Amino acid sequence: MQYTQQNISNDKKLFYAWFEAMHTRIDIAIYIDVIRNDLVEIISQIEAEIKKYEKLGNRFDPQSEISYVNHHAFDNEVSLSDDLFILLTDCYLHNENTRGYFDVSVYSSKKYQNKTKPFSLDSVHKTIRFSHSGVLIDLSGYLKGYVLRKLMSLTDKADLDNFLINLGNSSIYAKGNHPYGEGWKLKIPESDCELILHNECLTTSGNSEKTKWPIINPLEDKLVIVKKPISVITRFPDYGEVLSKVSYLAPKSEIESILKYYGGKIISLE
Amino acid sequence: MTNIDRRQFLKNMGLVSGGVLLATSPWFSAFSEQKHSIGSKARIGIIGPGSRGQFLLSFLVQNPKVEIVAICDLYKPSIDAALKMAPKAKTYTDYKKLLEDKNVDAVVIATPLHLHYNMAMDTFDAGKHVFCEKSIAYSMDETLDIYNKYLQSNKVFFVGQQRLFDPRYIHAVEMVHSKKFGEIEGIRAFWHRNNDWRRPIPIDATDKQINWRLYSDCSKGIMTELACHQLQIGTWAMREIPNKVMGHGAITYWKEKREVWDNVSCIYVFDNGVKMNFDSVLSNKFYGLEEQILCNKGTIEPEKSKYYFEEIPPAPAFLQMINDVENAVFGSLPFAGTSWVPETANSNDGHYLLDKKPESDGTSLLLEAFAEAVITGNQPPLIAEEGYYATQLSLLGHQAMAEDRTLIYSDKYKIEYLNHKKQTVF
Repeated sequence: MQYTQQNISNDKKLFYAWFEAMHTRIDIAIYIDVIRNDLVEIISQIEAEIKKYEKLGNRFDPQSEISYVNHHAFDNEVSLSDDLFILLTDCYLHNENTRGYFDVSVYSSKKYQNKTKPFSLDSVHKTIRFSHSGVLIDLSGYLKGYVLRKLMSLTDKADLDNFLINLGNSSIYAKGNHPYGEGWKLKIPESDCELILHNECLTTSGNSEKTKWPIINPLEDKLVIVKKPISVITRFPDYGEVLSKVSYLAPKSEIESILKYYGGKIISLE
Repeated sequence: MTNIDRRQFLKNMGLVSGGVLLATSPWFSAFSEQKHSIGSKARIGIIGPGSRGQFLLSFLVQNPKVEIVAICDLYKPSIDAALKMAPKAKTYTDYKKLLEDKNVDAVVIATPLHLHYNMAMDTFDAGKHVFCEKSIAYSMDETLDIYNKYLQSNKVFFVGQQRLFDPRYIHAVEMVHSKKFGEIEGIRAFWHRNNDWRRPIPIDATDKQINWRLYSDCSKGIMTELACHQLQIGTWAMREIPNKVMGHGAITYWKEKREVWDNVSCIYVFDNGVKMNFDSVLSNKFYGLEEQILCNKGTIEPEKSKYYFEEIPPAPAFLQMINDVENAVFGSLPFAGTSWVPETANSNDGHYLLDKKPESDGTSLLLEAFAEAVITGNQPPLIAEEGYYATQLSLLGHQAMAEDRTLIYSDKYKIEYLNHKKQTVF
């Protein structure tokens, strides 16, 4: 972790820290009293929290817990840590709440038949079991928002009132105010759209000019051509991850009710 | 390069502030009196206008402060080619006759290595300034003799280490000296090619005349022709001379008539344990040439004109926000978008040292500095010493490989420079 800080007045300063995690960059700007000298410690806690979830949910890391699940949960019931159990339970519920459009198992090699859920969770024993072979849980499109939600609790406990956290440009949470304005002003370079975030999250998914990620519609098992990114504003960042995926998969007739359920707003739509 | 071009060049490099430039590259003081030298000319003679000599000549003839008054070579085609660029030059076949020419203020020596010693010594004795192509001489004794002769001469002495004037290298070393990348932990220099280094022999020339680099009584091969350039980057960046060297040389691929190695590897050790490696393989060109300066916070590759931080740098958008806040501006942060890098890969593409590729490798500026120094008679600081150690380290490395043992830099060849300065006892 590296940081710099700038005194703005006799009693206020702007603190900026940055580091690399989850294969992307993390930037944190905090507008706060000059006398606060615990910011490095707080950022260290944030870094540790992010890295904890990276270790838990990065399917590309063979040592991660989710990798173990992906390799063993068809043959055996696999016990989950509390953190991964809660995370997967949330994913399960989001799948229900979006009528199946949000699906962390969408990259499984064989699609499930007869509407069978690809995995089941046992809430008593905190275990997971895949319903068939080839199921693959990929949290890449969800983890950043989920972790950012965890960081909201952490920053609340640390009494941070004015700050902005950026996880890889695609998941951003802004609380309170910039030193010289209400909220935090952001610009989406691709669309040239400028907006102010105030106790809200901005989440962007899809492809930019430089990327060609394969995006699959889980209900039709078809590749979806997504050229432009979609940004959504939500109260909570994990909701943002869900809505930014669903918004380019679900028919427009269904998007509105899902957005309403999550309390989200689309900023740009293809 | 005109004066205006030079100012623009320095500006483009971000080196227009003289203090920073002179701290890293004090030899740029050669230009400090250039206004006073307007209208004056450095009258230069060239000994050895072969391929390298003609390359140097091509820059010299463009400098309005230079007049090429004499050229000398035994090989007529080289004289003819040089005359096309400098038609008014007197021609000689005996360099001693050129040295007697009163119209010659300074001499550029671009002959095969084994000829440098007598020519350089005689040039100083003739009371003329010297520009000697690297390496300075064939042996460490000869190199020391030439350096001592220069000290006694009160004349200007330049060595053809053009990287000292290359904007990429100046900027890189400036960044290293500023500690932006922390401390140097290692230097890896390499120069790989995939050719036999052999030039076609004209009907009226001998193989030794043309391919002298391949003959062990004319050259020390890779060490004096290639390593010499790169080892100098190590001492410049480290501000220290390594005192120990070991290595191995062999002919592994080009086994036709050749007396010098086509495959060498040397390790130079600085007093603090940091190592500078030099490798050259003449039968594989994949990695080309580079001097990788490895620091604890980053890596610099001057030849590629790139640097890389070990940790990610701050985001420009956030730095802009800090700047905005200093000016009480509620600016926007232009970064929102899809993920910064792919979820699956982690790469570090680095940053460019300069905004654009430099037009010159430093040779033109090196020669301009020489002309200025000839006119003013002022030797720029440290340039002779950088050249001296580049040669001595190349030769010491060659000796270590030839004797197949670890060698310590002998006190005999130490001069008053960097860590080799004599300690004052109070």
